Amino acid sequence: MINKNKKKSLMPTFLLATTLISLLNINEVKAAPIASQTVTAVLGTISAVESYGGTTSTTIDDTGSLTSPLDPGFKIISNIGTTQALTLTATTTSTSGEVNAFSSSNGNVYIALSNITTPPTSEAITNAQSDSPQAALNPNVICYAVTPPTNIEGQLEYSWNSSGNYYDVNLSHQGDTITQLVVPAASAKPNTFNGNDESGSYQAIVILSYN
Amino acid sequence: MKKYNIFLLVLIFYISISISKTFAAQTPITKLSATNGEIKSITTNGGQLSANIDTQDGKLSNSLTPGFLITTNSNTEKSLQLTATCNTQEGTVNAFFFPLFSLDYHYIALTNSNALPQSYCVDCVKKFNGALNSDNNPNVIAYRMTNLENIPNVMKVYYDNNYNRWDITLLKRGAIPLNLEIPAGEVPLTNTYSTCDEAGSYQATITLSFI
Repeated sequence: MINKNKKKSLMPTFLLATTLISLLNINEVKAAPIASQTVTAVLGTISAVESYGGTTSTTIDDTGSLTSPLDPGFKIISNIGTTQALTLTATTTSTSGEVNAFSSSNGNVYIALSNITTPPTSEAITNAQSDSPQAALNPNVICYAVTPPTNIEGQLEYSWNSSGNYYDVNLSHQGDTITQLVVPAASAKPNTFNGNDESGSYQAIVILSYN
Repeated sequence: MKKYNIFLLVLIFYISISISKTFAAQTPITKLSATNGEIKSITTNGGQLSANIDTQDGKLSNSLTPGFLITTNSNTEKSLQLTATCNTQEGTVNAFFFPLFSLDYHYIALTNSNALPQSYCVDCVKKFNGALNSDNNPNVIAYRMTNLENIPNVMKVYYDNNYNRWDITLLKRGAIPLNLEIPAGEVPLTNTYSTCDEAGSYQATITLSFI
């Protein structure tokens, strides 16, 4: 009888010990002498183009030639490692609004500059951009040949888009890339400069943009 | 977990009753002994873990403040180390460093987890007090950290230049928070941010541990 009671009295002690051990084990699992945190700063993509100097103003002499080259520059900025597509376009002002200033004829690419004080009609610009301009039909617009933009090996490649009359540009360089369009100091496209062109500022806007 | 806790409480209650009954019957002496061991625990404790990088200048949009909670039940001094790693193509490397020109500040290098840099890019940032130029450390950006400060009677801190880590001596027991801060609005270390750094998540992992 006494042994039976002793056995009974040991049971709760055993259970209590087991319980305490379990509780201690729970604490051990939670308590670690080391912890780590990862911090993250997210950088977005950069695709930007900035104007980058160059000569953007000159004069036209009596023969219609530019006295110095026009060579607007651009800085393309990218932090993307893959090839990016851009477009080099140009517009000029007509009485109907902005029209494409680039054209190609007889194997050359031309840019049309129109008189901003007395803008030409869009028909006059179209005539000046044709293969056979007629001086009397394109007053206040003068076309000049542009130098094909220079490719940069492994970084920048231009190709003329004859259906849209603009340059497709493939950028495969991460970082800053400098490029420019050059309109050399040369005579005007035949029959686009004559006495019908009034004095004033002849302008076009050259735009380089990501597609 | 809740069910388990309820079970334990019921079990303890049952044991208490059983012990009482046993005492009433035979009054045996049962010594209960529980040893409370030394606790050395570190857990993560919130803080701001993510930010955006300004694409213009590389500044962080907000501070990064990974937090830790150190818990100990002993008043004897305890030694800890705060370290940091960043990932490279060759594996993790120490992210903390102390540029020679810097009399006061310590820096942390974050690496692009989407386009891992080679480890030498991190070395370039460390060796040349920033970088000689931005081309030699793509996908690594380094930021100044706010120095950890001594807290009287709580902890002493010391930056070990040999190992580039913070050595911390804990002076008291209890639950003690610790935050590292990479402040917002500061330009990255010279030439460590540029368009050579691709878009992505720039990361480092900070670890606090008892030694």
